[in-house]
Amino acid sequence: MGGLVADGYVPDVQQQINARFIGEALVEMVAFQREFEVFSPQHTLQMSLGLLNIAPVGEADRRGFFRYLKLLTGTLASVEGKASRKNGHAQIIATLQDNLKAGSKAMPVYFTYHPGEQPKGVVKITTGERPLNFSSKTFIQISVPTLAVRPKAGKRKK
Amino acid sequence: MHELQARVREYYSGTLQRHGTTPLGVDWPNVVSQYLRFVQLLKLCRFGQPFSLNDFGCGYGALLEFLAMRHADAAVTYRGIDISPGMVGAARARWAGNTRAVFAEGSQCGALADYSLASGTLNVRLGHPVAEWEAYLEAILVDLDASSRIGFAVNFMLPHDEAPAEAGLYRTAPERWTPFCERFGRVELITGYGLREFTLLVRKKPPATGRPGTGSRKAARRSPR
Repeated sequence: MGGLVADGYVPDVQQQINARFIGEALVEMVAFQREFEVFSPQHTLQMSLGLLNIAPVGEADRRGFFRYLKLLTGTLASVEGKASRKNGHAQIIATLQDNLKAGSKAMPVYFTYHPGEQPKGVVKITTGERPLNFSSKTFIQISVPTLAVRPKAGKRKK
Repeated sequence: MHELQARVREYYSGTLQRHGTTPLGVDWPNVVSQYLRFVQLLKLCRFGQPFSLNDFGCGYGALLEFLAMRHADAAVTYRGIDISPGMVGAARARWAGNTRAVFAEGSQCGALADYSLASGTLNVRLGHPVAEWEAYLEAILVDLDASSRIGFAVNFMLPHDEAPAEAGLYRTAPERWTPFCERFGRVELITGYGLREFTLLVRKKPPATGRPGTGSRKAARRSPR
């Protein structure tokens, strides 16, 4: 995630998010949304994911992850290949909000990442994807842009 | 029973030590699921009037956070009880400025309140034989009844559809505990709220005298005006 989270922890946090949006956990998420509006324009992704205890374990990586989420406000977004008026951060929230509002019809969500486009990067949201070839489920896929950043000399070695 | 209580005490002291005063510190995966349980349990209470509340297995007093968030205007006299001295110490430190909240260490409520709640307290059996654990739960439920003037509420984890229950956890069906609780009053079963569990609200028969909200044992003895 652009050097904000140690490389080894990125798949871990991706797994934490994805595990929250499938199967029984998705049913819980629908209930959380109905009761508490966990995802809404009033709450940042940092707040929402923080409430769900989704973040890397280490303090530095945790801070980096939350900073990354904030940086998504500066990205663009596309939905089904069409440009959205919302920024990436707002579009993720809107997509999750709409999906969870569907109750028992809410779709599982799969978060992944792709190389960030210059200069801003685009959050790409597509419906009906089958990112897990071992599963018959179709997903809403949310792909976030990332950049490979070489740490400066003397910085973290993880 | 003492050995069982000692293990429960040790377990929760350990979770607190590892995770601090967080949902993980009281063995909940996150704050939202913890709050969703409180929503169900608190359906027992009438928030239109002051009341007193025993929070049995209170941990670090997360219920107070929820009350402040969701029922900020409610006048609740709160008593948190926990078997773990570490947990009670953490709760006292965290809520030192709250004049309506007290905490006590113990394996029983120890005082009468309008309502008593126990969230998650009945679910972690730590590998004890089911019969032994159920005897322990029966004793807790009897105490919750004796410590509640209006009613009490508890939650249980439901069994998995196919997989067996985890050795450390106690999973059960409403049929096991609804009849047991019916001896105390009218039982309302709440299920289907998104978590694999159910909540029982037990409302006792209304007392012939006294008013809700008078709370403490002392106040409950007052004559009605």
